[in-house]
Amino acid sequence: MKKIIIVLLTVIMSCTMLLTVSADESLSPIVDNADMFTADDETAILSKINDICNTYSIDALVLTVTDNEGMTTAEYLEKFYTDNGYSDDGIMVIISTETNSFYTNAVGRCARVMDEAAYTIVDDAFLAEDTYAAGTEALLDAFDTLLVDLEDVTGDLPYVIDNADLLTDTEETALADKLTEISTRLECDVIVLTEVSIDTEAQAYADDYFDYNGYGQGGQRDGILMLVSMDPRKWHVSGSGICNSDLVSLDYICEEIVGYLQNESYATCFNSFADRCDNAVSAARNGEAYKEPFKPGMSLVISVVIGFIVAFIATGVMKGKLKTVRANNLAQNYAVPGSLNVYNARDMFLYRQVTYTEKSNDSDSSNGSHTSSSGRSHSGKGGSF
Amino acid sequence: MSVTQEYKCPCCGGAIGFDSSIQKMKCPYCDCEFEMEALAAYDNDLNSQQADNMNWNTNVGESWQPGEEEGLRVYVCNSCGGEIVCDENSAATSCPYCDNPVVFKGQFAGDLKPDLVIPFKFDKAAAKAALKKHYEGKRLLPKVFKDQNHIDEIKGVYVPFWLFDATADAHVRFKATKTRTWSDSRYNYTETSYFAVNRSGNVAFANVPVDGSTKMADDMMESIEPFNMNEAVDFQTAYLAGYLADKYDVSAEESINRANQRIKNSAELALEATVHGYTSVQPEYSSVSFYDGYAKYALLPVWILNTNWKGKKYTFAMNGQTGKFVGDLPMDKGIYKKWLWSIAAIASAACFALSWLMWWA
Repeated sequence: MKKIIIVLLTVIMSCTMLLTVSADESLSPIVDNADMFTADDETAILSKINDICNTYSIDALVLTVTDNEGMTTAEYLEKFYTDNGYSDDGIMVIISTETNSFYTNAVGRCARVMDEAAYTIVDDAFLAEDTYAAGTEALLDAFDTLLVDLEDVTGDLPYVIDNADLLTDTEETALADKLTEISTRLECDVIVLTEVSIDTEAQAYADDYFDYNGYGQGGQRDGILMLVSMDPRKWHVSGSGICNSDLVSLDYICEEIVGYLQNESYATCFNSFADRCDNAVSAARNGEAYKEPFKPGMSLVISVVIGFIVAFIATGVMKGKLKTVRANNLAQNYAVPGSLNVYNARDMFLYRQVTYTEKSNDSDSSNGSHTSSSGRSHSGKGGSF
Repeated sequence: MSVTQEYKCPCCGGAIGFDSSIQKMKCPYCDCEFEMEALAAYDNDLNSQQADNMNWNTNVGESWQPGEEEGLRVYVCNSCGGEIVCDENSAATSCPYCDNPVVFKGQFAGDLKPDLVIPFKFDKAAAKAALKKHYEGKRLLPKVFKDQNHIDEIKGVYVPFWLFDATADAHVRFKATKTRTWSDSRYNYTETSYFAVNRSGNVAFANVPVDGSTKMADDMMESIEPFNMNEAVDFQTAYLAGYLADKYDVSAEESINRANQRIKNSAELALEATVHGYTSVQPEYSSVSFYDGYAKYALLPVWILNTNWKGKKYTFAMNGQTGKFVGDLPMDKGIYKKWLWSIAAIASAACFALSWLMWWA
């Protein structure tokens, strides 16, 4: 009987531990690692969060930390949101005592209603209060107000925005289908944007368009956008999330862009961009950088040409060794040492010519990883055409 | 009939020759060695002796046709009495009957006497060894040509050279440029500044050699240069014993153009070397005048080696003073193709492997 009791107790304890683990792994909307909130505060905040989540069918996260673990506050928040499996549509805020800063963000459909002005409203609401708890509640109220527009957000985000009308309708439809398929399959938005003119730097325009129109899938907002502007004639590719990692090479993705744009082969250019994004992101999803397949035919032709050049040079040297009889048109061996006497040396400037060539306007510039106006991190590469 | 000169050993009466290894005259029969000065004095004594006068006149055989004997000279060997027929420029040779060295004194009489001679420092064996070494490292040389190593003729020849001394006074104008590049946000700029660079100067040249024999190819004689004229000595016919020698058949006046060209080129080059600090320098105009010009006549030592292969004559030459060896060699087209294809195949394979490795890495 005693053994049965011990076994039962063991089973009960094991179940208790399992339950504990399950509780830790559940998605908690409030993670107060910095211990900023009282129990009453958490109850009030949780009540507001539940209202928002139930109303809009999204996830919400309030996170406080004392240690950013070497990351920026924004990076820590995005990583936490992604790693813990929160929904693709959601809002989030982090308060860090390490950096004495806070950061708000929205992903998925929520991002489509959160432009720069909206973020300012939210941030101002938080800063207007005296305590973290009151500020958080005010911030959630502001989100609640702004997310009313979420009801107007219907359908999927467009992947081809041809404002410059560079594509025919057929080309645009085919490209949109292709980008939708790739974006869905890879869980990474691949967008093509053309503009008649832009009044800011191409990099900033591309980054902001991506950020403020809610592109990017998952917590890290995986996606890549290619911008083509006709005035000035600039192009820029902006990567986010997985496309802002070492695994995705923008050099590879952008390799053919300039040539096609200069030839005004826009549909070919965008399809090349799509295919290369497909290759690069597919490989990155498997944890490796994309490597172009080895092309033995081309390598063989080039190798044979080089081989014969080397062979002709080598045999030319061998042939040269057979000929040792050559006329000597100089007599330096018979100059009397030290007899050279230069009695007149005059260097006279005559004239000067300056030529200039315009710098190649197809020069690419890789801007590496940088932070956009929304505070998000992007990789970028662009240039003129 | 011209007079020939042989050097007889004062000890045994055998014909003696100049030995390049000991730089003395040596008798091959009794191994006696003689200083050049002593032999020259002995030679003078011999010259004072009354020669026999047989006055034979046999008139046997056909006479030379008119013009046929032009360019030929006939000498009589003092040792064996054999008749030596050679061309008009030959100055020293060996008797075809007794192989004794013979010098034709008349070829050096009066204005024809050379001012200087550089004695041979390398002998026939050294010339043979040099030829063997010349074959080394020549991958395209036909194997048969190399293995047979058949030499039809090896002869040590004192080749007549004209040595020109002159001081060249040169005025050269160069067109020189300096370039500078910079760029701003839109353009790349290249500024080229042009200069007229004048240099005037003089430089002395001593003993610039020009081949004075039409028998010797000029480019071959220039290929075995330089000769070190510090080792030249006053001419004595005794040095020629045992070697072949020619008198010049190209006059100093005819040779001077070649010397002028070589000195002019070198004077311009010497002045160009004093132009510094420019991106490019091109001679635009030059004027060279010579003064203190002086020509000397010298005999310089050359080993000539001849061979025939597939109906073509191949001639090699070795500087008898420095040992420098030259001579164009035939090429085996079959071996050339083998090397061409082999290297192309290996280099192509290496390139292909490298491209694969670069892709794989």
